[in-house]
Amino acid sequence: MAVVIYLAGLQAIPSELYEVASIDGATAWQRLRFVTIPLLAPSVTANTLLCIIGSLQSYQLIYVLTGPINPATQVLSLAIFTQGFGGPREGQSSPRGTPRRSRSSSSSSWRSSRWPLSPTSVAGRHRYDHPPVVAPAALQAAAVQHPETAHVGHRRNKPLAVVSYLLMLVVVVIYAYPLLFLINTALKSNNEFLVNPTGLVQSPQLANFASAWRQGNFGAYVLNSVLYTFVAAGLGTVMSLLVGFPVARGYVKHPRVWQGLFAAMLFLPNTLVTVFQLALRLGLYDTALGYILIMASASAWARCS
Amino acid sequence: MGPLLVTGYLSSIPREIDEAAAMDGAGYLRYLFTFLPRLMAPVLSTVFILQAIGVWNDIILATILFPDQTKCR
Repeated sequence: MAVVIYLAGLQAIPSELYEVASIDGATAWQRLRFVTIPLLAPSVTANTLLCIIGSLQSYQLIYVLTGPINPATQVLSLAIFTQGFGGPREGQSSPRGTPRRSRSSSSSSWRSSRWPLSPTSVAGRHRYDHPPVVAPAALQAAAVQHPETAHVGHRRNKPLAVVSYLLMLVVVVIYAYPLLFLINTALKSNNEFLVNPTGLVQSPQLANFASAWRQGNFGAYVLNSVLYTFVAAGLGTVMSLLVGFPVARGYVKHPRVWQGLFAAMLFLPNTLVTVFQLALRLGLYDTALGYILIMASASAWARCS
Repeated sequence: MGPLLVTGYLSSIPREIDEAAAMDGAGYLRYLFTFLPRLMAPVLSTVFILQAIGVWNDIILATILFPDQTKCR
């Protein structure tokens, strides 16, 4: 996730800046230090926030590594989870995970009370401070490429490039080796695996994949995953639009407060216990519908992924 | 996550489009479901992908809501 955000941020940096920097004699390190890093600052902020939110909400690793009730490593999310399911204090944990539910009580204020329906209100609020036509000739003149600067481009620093390619190669090997080993093992027949568990495969067989697909009932599971993913994510997207539009435009009261709430909700610990009780009482426990509905709302409101 | 991204992107869409649509007689819901999806395709697809990743990788809620592996549907 972080990599995707950094990539988007990097692509948004105009290449002209690098050209200008190299014309002014900046080295590769200086271009990195004074162009790339300052312009990536928003992406760094976003990633830092996402990481903090993710750390605050994570409990699975702690559960697996140090156990659910070890006081030395207890965190709020894990406490809610362990006390909420099966323990004697099931009732205690619900209120802690509850605040996210409070939004439903005030749903009536989402009405579009200030949608500009009457033409008079529209005319009253219109502001034409800027001329509607931008002089196109000036824009075109600015956009003309100057051929004499085109050859400058990025001056390649040879040793640096070699080092970076070597580093990338090392990373590729580290990441690819386990995968290739996995494929190598998967292609062996049972006998070959017993005889030679780690060596290179001699007679590759694809039948393993077919039987794994059949015995593991993978087809049905993939179908389920696809169904849940598309329906829940689609619903969540529509919900985001429905909720985000009136808040962004100020068609509800106190839009800034709502925006603050959106951000604050990302930091809340998980609501698993509350959601579980809700599903039980609505009769949605153990139904695909219940899973889709809860997942849609959770993915719209929480940090997802 | 979704509403935050949507509100952020909407600040780059001029309010005058809302008003022009309202002048031409489009209601609130009609504007929301016929105009905005086209205007906001980039951010909506981002939101969809983010949420799809979340749902696809989810295991906790599935473990909690479905007790028995033999009757998942």
